[in-house]
Amino acid sequence: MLNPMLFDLIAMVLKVAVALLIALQVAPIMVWVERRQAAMIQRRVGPNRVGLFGFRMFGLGQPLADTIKLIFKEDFVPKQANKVFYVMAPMITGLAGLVAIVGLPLGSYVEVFGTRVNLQPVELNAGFLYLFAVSALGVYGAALAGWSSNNKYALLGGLRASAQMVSYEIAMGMSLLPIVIIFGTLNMQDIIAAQSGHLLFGFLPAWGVFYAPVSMCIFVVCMFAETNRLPFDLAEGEAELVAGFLTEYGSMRWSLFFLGEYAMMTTLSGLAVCLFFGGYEIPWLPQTRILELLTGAGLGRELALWVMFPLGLGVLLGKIAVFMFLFVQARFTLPRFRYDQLMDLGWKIMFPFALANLVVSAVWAAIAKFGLP
Amino acid sequence: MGFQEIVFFVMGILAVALGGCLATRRNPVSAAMLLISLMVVLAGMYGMLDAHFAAVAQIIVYAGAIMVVFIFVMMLLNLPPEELRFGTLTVGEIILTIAGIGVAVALGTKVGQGYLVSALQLSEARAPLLPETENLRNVAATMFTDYLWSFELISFLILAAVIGAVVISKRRHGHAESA
Repeated sequence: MLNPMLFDLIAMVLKVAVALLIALQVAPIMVWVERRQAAMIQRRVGPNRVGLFGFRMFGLGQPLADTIKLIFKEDFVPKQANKVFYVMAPMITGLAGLVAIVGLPLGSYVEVFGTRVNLQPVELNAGFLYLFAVSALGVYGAALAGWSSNNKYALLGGLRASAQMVSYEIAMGMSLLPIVIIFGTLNMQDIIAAQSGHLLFGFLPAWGVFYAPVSMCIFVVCMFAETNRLPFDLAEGEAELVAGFLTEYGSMRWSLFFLGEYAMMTTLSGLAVCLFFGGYEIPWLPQTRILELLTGAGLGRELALWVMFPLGLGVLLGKIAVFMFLFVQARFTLPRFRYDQLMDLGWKIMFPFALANLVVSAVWAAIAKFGLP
Repeated sequence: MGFQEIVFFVMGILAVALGGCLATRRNPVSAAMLLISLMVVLAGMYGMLDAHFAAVAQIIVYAGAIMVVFIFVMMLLNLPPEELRFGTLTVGEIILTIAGIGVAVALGTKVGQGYLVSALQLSEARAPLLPETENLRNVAATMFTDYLWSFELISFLILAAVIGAVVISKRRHGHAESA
């Protein structure tokens, strides 16, 4: 038996490594998915040539080729730019995306040497507020990139990014409060556990989305705005601002922004999945039941838990993939908002709806708990 | 001294160093970025003290919202770096410096804190209702029992400040139109 502190440390490092590996793999795969799906929507073929070792694999070698191209491009810093912040900006975006993802629960728990290891890499008492806090820091990358490039289009892009973030952050935070009221906790593992095990009306899985559908809609819209994805990508807006805050960037610095963006999309999708769609749990088949089945089939308890970890992770990633599909589908289907429409939507529609939703949920929860006065 | 304490002291020194750098920057955006790093370091220190809610609130509210607005305004106005002013210190500046050092000593040292506690006749804070690990529930419990009045009054004050800001900006706008 190891020293408990050393054991905790090793477990923590391994869990964080798994989470980071997922976050890092998302960007190249999503680049390919995005191009293929765009091609499907626009009735083109899309990148399907580049393969590995003579196998085409639907063009899955494309991301690798892209990465090699980006690495060998000239690493260029414009003369008029503020060098320190210009170099720092993509790092902030990339880092915020990667740091946020370690707050997602990747599975329930495994047992090693009889010690229970929670499969949430970083577990704070403040629960999913951590995810929320770190993802809010990503905007500094865009804002600083815009300012430090010393280019008027870039500056406008940066300004738009920060104003948009502040506007939608409020509605986003408020849309999640009903979930906290309903489940009575901020701990993501507890919220996921509360969503499994019983059925609503005898057939619906007890997912957060059925308790708080308005919250889910507001959260998903705000998610698009927070990650600067179309139809909210006003910060880039190539029709008006060349490429917004990305105008002066190239090579790997540019791709770091995309790494951060895709990691943030994964994290926020993961948050939505955990809060509204039951996280790593399979609908109608809770993990406690799977554990019973597996141990009943003759597997030891520890081994059964280890089998369930990749299973749960697969389910989680599958649900996240549905959200990613939605992101790409929206990008190539919806036109971009005008900037005043974006602000109106954020402040005059999303915010009041989120507030009303919160009040209704609070009153409902109070009646459900204490009865009518 | 354990590993945790060493990390905590390093973070403390880092926070003070960042504060020093922040006060001496000429470029407003550099100063704002240093302030954000300072807030992240402070959040880390709160986290090490098991005050997880304070840590996360620090990042969400200050680093995530207020400083974004600061940066927004700085970028919008595109403020030039401040010119260094050479020459003699004025009497006012000397008084402010001494007062600042006094506040730092009063709040930052054990002696000063002990004096403040005895001078203001503050009672010792009562023990938390729940175990220390239940930080969030403790915060909520004290906020909605012992400190409910102060909490509500502060929210009222903030509301008044928001209304005041709207009124002032409207009036300026009206002047600009009539001029």
